[in-house]
Amino acid sequence: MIDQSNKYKDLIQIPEDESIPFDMHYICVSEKKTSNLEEKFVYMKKYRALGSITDFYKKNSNIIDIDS
Amino acid sequence: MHLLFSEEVDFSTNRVIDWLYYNDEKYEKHIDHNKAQKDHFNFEDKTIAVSFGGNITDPIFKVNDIKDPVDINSTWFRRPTINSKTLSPEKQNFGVYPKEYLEYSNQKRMRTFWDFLCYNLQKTKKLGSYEIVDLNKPIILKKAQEHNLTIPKTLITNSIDELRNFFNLCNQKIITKSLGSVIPEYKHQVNHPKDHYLSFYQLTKLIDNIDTAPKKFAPSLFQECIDKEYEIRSIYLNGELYSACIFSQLNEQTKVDMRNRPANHPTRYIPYQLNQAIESSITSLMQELTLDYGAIDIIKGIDGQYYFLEINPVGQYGDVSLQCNYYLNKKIAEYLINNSND
Repeated sequence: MIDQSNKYKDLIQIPEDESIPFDMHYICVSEKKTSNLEEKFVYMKKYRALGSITDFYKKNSNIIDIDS
Repeated sequence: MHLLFSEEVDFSTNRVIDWLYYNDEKYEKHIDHNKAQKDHFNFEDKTIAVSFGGNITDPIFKVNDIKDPVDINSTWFRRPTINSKTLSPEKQNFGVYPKEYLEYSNQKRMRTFWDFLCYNLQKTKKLGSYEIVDLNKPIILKKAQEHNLTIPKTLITNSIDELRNFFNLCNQKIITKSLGSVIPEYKHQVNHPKDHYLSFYQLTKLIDNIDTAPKKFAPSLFQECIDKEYEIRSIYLNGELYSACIFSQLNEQTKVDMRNRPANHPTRYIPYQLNQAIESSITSLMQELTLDYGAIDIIKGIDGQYYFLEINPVGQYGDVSLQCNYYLNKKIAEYLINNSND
């Protein structure tokens, strides 16, 4: 993540106050593109969670067959 | 059966499950009840009984699913989150008793139950900690120093005058970071372009100009900025340390905080062996904290000194394991299997 706080200064207006810690004035912002998570991740029973076919697995892996 | 306390999505948990699956081991996963689905470990389809007292000194657990008893052979507190399920809307407004009070009372009771269950599971074969998911940063820094680890010059203050003195003492180059947990990442949808959003998060911040800094603030953490030769991330697992040297200083953006990096510009990692004295100090510190797992951040300064920064008791280890070929997922699965209660 690349910090683009300078570009979005107006969006991060934390008031200066005795009850707000110093570091809170330096919140970072990054622009991100929305990715279609449904394409990357599917619910896999094996993991009881979303799982993805990562670079660890060959394309012919049977991992989806196991879990679906 | 191995019981894994984790988050809804945690890819390290998935990789450990791969190894449990490979070894034909049974496992169940517990996540925050408000996000749990049917195949997560909860008590909607199970009954539990814990007997103790009288002549029974060690509590006897009986966990049954609809048909059979469930034996918990080992427990991994990867990232435990214990929140009771919120009542469904149709049950919230039953009678005149305020729903907030009902919810509060219910949460308190269930929290006590889970605390007791995990307290007992912690005494059996387990990895990680149910109670310690977050550490007090200043206390850990102080304890690290007591265990002969070098830490950067540190100041906690709400005084601008004290901060200015510290800034000058540290050659007008200091960092500030959260005294406790960092703020949660917040995703803010933007209209133009439609497929973009803004992500708000927190990094370690370099302060090299005190004049533009806030003048009023709550007690906050400041440290001298160490010019680093490289960064070291050590994964402590049951008395063993698996360390990686991370060349975050090679990129201007990752010099202060290595998370500030472009996705297509990976930082280089290589396996690293810490010297015996530092490893012994870390081991004795972890033993004092009764932790059998932790991700430890260290930097090596250009002055040749190793500076201890912090311990994350539920920190990620996937990058160190993968890039240094430590096979930590396999080691964790084997630990759970080989140290089972049966």
